[in-house]
Amino acid sequence: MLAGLVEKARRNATLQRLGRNCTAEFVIGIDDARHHVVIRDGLVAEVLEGPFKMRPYSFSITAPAASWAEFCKPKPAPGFNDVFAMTSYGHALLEGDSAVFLAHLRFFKDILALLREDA
Amino acid sequence: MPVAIEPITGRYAHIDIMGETYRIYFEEAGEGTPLICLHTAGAHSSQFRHLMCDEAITSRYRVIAFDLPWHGKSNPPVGWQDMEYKLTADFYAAATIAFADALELDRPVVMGCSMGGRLVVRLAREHGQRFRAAIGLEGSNRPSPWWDNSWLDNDVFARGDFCAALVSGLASPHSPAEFRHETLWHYHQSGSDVFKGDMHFFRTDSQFEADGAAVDPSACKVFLMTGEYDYSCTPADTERTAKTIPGAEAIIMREMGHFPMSEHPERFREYILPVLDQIAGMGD
Repeated sequence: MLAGLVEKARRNATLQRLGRNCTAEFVIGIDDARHHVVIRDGLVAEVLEGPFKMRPYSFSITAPAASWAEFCKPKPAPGFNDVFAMTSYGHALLEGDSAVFLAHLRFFKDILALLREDA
Repeated sequence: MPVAIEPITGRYAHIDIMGETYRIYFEEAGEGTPLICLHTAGAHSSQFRHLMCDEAITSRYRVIAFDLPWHGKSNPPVGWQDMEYKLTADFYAAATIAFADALELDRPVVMGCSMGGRLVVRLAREHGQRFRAAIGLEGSNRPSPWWDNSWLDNDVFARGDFCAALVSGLASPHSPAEFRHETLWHYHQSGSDVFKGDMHFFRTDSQFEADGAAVDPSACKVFLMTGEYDYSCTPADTERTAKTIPGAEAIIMREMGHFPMSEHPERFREYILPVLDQIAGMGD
């Protein structure tokens, strides 16, 4: 699901403009696997596979693999088309420092949109 | 080739609302039964532009949408710089009634979306004799939070880009990209703290669960129309609300999100035209 994310983000000038003031690290959790997405000045610098014991991060978005699979469809079913749709219906969990997420909300949402099959 | 000019006209009216005079901007098109349109939180009357350009509607309805004070081209009150904007249910209802009275509208239909969709439940109960029908788009009778109210303390609510990003997922992935992003642009345009001020009504001051039972369906029939992608007012919220209002009809719109009239106008007209037909058939 995360394969190619770094490259897709590198090719996306709008994304880099939106995130130019953002340097952060957040976690995408798929089932029990936790993937650390490292952002440097709007660039998705790298995606690190765990397992990590004590690596810091700002916030995490975790969901079962089946929920992420639906999210990644070009036109997801109702309840899966947006991270807030997923948290609202209990398909995903947003935890940690949500202030970082809110401060760059469209940027992070656009990163997640790059996970879509047609992105 | 002649320039394309839409049939919409915009004017300003000076209207007293709860003891204060406001300069209110409104747009309209069409002739016939007045149809007052109430925009969503943090947006303005442009959301209804497609209805105003649809001859199937404007040939029978005078479609009128006004910007609430603080929104769009309507002014805030004089002295706004020392105020914190917080929309209350009392003010919202009073503004709608004052607007209808000022324009001397004869038993208009009222149609609101999102916070406007919630207000129509109260309007139908309190002022059912004054409206021939009430249409709540993405409307329910109580707040159903999908984010924590504590977020409202965050300064991001003063930023248009945040307000747009907060609601972006409420538009359906089936809606045309052009109109989804136009809808979000209205949130970008919203003045600092305006969306946050509307949230006072939408998340705190709009408990109307007790109102529904008192609606007189012979005076004012209520229609509640909700998109299946709406997680702010879910289809379940709408169906639950409809059951509490005598005579109310719930209509769930397939592949639609939270902003039907602006995010997918072609699809929306498939749903709204039969409702407007039904209202026209009710007579006076």
